[in-house]
Amino acid sequence: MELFIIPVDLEIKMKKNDWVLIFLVLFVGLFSYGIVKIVQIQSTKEPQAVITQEGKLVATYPLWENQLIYIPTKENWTNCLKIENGVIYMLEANCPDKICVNHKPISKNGESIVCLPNKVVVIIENGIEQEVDGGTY
Amino acid sequence: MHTLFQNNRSMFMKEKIFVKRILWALPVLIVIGLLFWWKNSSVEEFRYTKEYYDVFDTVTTVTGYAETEEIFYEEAEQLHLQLIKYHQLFDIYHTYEGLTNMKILNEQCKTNTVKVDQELLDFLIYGKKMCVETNGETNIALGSVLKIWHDYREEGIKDEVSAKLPNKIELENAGLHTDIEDLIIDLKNGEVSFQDSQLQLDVGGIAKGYSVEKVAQYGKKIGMTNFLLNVGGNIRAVGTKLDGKPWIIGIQDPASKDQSEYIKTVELNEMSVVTSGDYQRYYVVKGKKYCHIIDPDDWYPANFFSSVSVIARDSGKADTYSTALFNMDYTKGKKIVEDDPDLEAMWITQNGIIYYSSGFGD
Repeated sequence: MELFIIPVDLEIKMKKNDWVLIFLVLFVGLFSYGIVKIVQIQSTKEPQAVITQEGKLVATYPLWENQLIYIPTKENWTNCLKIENGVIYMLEANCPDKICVNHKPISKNGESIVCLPNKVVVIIENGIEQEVDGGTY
Repeated sequence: MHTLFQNNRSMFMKEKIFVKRILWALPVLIVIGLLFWWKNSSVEEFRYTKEYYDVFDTVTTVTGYAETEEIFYEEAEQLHLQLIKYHQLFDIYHTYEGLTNMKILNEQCKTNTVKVDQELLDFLIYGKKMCVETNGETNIALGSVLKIWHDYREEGIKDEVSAKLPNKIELENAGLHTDIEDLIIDLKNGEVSFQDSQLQLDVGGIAKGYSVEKVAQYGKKIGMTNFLLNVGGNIRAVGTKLDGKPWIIGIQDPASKDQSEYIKTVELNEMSVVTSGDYQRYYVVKGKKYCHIIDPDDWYPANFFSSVSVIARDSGKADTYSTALFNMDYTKGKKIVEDDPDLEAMWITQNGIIYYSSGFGD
């Protein structure tokens, strides 16, 4: 039969290194979580107009640079777009209905101008959000 | 005594190590907890939009949510394929190999009984039902009259100077062959025939809405929960946006040539909205506009309104009634809408006066 003497001093002496290790683990954990969160947040990019014809990418143009754009080529164009003051609009087109020409200038995210007869599509990326999700017409 | 003390000391050391281990475990547990929290919050869905330009002669937009763009595009593409199916089925201008579609029916039903698939059969039954329900204001058998206007309109757009109106006799003669009851549907055998050899089907007044509703239901079936389907302005909202807020839809101002100038916005939650307007397809004769929606009461383009927008849960119903209400005066139309709890409407007259049904936009 053994007798157990309970030690009076139950104080655990944490050495400095113990604390360093504990905080290191905590820190690494929080740090990696932070990195993941930052990567998730989309990096702020500049508004640009993405132009496609027949579904194929023609070019993208930043909205901050004023210019005229001829689709498909300057020598032989069916649609002419203009970028000025941060917006883009269809200046001229040879389609019969001119719906694209009548469309107001666009600059907001997801807004688009479509010339269906010439299969030209202009869409805004990285713009500020629109007020509506869609429209009847 | 000496050994006891040694035992106690070793026990004391063990306890110290044990507590130390607990202290170690704590930050590890915290990190693991954070990792789980991060994993849960990264099963986040983002909003995406995809456009298509090859169906129903118009622009189609699918807006919805998915974890990644790839997943969303896959789902949207499935809806797109369904839309192509209906586009081909209801096409009165083109045929597609191996498919008995609307054009084939118009060519063959006058002399033969034609066997059709269940999908087309269902639509024809629906079309017949809607014609009866709207007292003929939305009539898929109006093809012989619509064709005349289509031909004159195409000519008038090509050459505005010599644009003409069809003559009244021409229209009235064609009008003799627009009785929906002459469309014979044999459900049991899956066959269709025309009792009138000059009957022609033109489904422009309801095909888009019907297809949009079918495709929306299909989307729900494949697991899409919150999305917006917009086919040429024919809109079907499935559920709300992901944050629980309704989809916000603009209704085009008829006075503006710009499609994106809105005269009113509505909030949609599991609802459809369709607008029929005189600015969508028209031609000009001697300075006057003649639109593509023909009033079956007199065979001429209806000019009660510049536009009528209808909200209903079912997109086919919204499309049907936007055409029907466009073809009748306000008093008649208002009564129909107020009598049907599922319908709401907004009328805009040629002078820009706007009427709303009592529950519009609620």
